[in-house]
Amino acid sequence: MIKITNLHATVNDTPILKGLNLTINPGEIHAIMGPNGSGKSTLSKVVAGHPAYEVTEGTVEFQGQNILDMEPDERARLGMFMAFQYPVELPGVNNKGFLHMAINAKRKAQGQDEMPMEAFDAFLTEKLAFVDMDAEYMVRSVNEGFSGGEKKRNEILQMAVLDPTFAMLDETDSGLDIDALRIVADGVNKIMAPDKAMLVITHYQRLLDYIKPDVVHVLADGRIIKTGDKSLALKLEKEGYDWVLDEAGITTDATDDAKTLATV
Amino acid sequence: MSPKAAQLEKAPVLTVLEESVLRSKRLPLQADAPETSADTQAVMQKLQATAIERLQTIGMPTKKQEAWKYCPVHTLLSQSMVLPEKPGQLDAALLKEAGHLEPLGQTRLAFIDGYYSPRNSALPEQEGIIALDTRQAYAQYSDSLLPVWQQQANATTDAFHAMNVATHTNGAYVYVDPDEDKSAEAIHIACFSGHQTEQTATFQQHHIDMGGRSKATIIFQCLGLPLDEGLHRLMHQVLYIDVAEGAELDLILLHDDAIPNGWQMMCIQGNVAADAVLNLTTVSLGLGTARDHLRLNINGEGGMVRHHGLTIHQQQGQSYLHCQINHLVPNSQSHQLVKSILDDASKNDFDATIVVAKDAQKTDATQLNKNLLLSDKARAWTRPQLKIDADDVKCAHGATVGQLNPEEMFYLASRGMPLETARCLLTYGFAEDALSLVTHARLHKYLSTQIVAALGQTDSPIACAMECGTCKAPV
Repeated sequence: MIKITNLHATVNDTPILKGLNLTINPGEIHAIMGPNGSGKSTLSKVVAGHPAYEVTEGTVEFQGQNILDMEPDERARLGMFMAFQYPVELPGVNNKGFLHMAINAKRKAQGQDEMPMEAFDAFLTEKLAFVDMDAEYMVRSVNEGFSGGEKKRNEILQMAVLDPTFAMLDETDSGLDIDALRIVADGVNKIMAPDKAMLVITHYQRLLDYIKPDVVHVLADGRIIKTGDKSLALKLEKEGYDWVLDEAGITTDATDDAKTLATV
Repeated sequence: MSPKAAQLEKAPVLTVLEESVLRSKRLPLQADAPETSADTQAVMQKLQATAIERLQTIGMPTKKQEAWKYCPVHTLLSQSMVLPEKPGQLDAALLKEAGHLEPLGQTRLAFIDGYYSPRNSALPEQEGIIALDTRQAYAQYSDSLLPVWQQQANATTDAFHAMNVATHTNGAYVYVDPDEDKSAEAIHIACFSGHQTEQTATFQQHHIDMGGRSKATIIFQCLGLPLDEGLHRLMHQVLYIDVAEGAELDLILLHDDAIPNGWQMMCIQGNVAADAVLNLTTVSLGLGTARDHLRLNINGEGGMVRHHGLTIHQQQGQSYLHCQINHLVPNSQSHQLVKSILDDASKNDFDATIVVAKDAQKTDATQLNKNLLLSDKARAWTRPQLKIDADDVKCAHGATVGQLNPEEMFYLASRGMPLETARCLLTYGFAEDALSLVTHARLHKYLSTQIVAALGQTDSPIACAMECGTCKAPV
């Protein structure tokens, strides 16, 4: 589904990703954990096509197609999705109108007819139930005045509406209480299917109790330094990142901070 | 001193514009107004002479004056213009195509080149409303209208206003009886330009008079249609608004000029009495120059002015807002939010002052100007000002000038929106709350459509989705 090979990326000429390799097959959920500043969010933004990041080396293939030359909107219409760590507020942009436009942009790109408003209403009502969201949120501006948890739910709603083939969840669990976490995770599990794949970026093993990953990776210093199964996440939660960083022989400033945080 | 400034310095006492307009002057209303009595006409003649004297005392504006500093008024003053002898042909097909001929209210007063157009008007018998053209109104209500004229002739400090007082033709007169609620059905005033083969200046005066505790919704369109290339045109309106005690007026003003040399000026003088509310929405679109002078007095305790403004320009389009809201008594409120969206080499000037008089304690006033620049060449000047002589007030003001946020653009792109759609959606989002005072559904839809068109998005899915956003239809 997605194959990342030797990916190097910089932001403002500072190298962040330094030769990252990752392959995710259909039906798989991969989790990425790692200290602060290790490049987790950068990875999702680079794959989604954020213009502030420059890819200096490597390839990213989605369903066999190199996507690095594509604009972010083209990537999205191909079936990629990123749930933001900090969803952006769009004052004055109506949530429902925005979702209707987004789904029709995708349908148009796929050669399908646009979904009329009446059909969209019914479709949206069904998806709102996925994330236990009130229809009242649809008449508001996108994310404006939403609490942290509501914003994250809205991200999962967008994911449910756009039904991506490959989704990246960037710290979707941060800022969520236990109930919200379960609702968001349930939504994600309902969307997941054998022909889809997901990349879940998180700091906490807790999320992985609800979204069961097939593979867990540790990202540090811009590359994947360890890969394992769910038990790796449990071990990290218990022991922090020191041992895995030591194994990889990493001692950078960025991870020094992170090590401190992880062991606090 | 720049050559242009030097030219202004040496300008003759009468500019080309003044000279040409005054040469073609006719007694205001006279040719159109056989109904007015000889006495009234004599008073009018006298007022006209007073206004011309006043004009010559004031002199036409120059860029040295703060209020005209950024406005290329010299390009207008060097034009020779005539007052149109008769209304030009109205391009109804074009107006219809642009959505401007939508029936916005049962009562309609339409003018072409300053002449009343019965064909485009509708004045059904309605209890509680008097809606007339001013020619008729002067014949019937000269006792109340002439003093307003007289006061302006003697006291105006604006040269274009003085020129208007001296030469205005016909206009709209609306009076709502006390205690009448006429807000459900909008009253529609439309001033169109007709097709003229020469450069014309049109001057009109309008009166809106709200009786005590009455309610009304009024939309005022000022629409300049295409002319032969290179021709200049001036459409100047003076609007007097009186909102009596406990009354509520929702007033929407739309400027839209299709030609780069089209000038639309409006001078609004309003009085808001105790517990009265004026909800004013001003919208300026198009390729020409819109210039509004607002002077709103809150004369009674509990009186409130809300003003939302929106400017959207492309190419060389420009808007100038000079506004003064005077809090003259205690316990009054004013809230102002003015936004501009400027593309290409367009410009916007916001110069507004909230004045709180010494006795106007407990005034609550806010003033915010936000400008979105879509091009490196677009310019915004902003001067939000407070002048407070009372010591127990709540006043806030601010201004922003910025561009589209790249993070917001990326967010939309990551949901599959093409760049142009994302840009348009965010721009529309920026504009959207400027229309929040327009609660009348039909007028809201009309303005939304005009805004979507002004943003260059008439493609049905985009326009439709944005309108869906504005109508806030629940799921």
